[in-house]
Amino acid sequence: MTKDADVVVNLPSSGWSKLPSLLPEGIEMEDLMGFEMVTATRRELLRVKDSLFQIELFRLSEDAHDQSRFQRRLRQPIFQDVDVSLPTAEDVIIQKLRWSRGAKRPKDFADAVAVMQVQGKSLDWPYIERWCAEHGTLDVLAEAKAEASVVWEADEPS
Amino acid sequence: MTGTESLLKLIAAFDSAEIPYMVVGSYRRIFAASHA
Repeated sequence: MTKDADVVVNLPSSGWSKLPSLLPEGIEMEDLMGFEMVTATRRELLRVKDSLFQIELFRLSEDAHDQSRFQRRLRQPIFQDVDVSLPTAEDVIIQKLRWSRGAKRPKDFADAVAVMQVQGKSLDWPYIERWCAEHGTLDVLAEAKAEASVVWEADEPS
Repeated sequence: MTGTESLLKLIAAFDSAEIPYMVVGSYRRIFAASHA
């Protein structure tokens, strides 16, 4: 099982100082804040008592796509009576392609292809293309789409 | 407390304090898969 979780939070600066008092019992905030290296986003580390599990809290940045992705997030039911806010599939693809270019991480490209393979036909492609044009990643988008389309074609009724 | 339990407790605390958040990274994949 994964040993950490990542959460983006939108709080004013004053809100962060109050955050430790809002944390549930057994979860504590580390004193030192850090930076996420790919996006240079500030982050705070939460430790879970008597566990190796940790939760990284990223501050919502001023980056235009980071803002758009946060505004478009959706509450999804994950268990009975439990809803969680998640980014949309379109925004996951845009972000992964941006990282695959910026940080040269092949896994991000593979992740983007995997999301396309599952959700390809229902995706808002004009939205994806607009941001990829903005990020200079239209070429990797075309490459990813070509890889994903093999699965879509295989799913077509013959 | 497992990782998932602690994350869900944190999310519940955010919801009750009306703190806007979204889960990204590996838990986004796990939760998205459970939704699908």
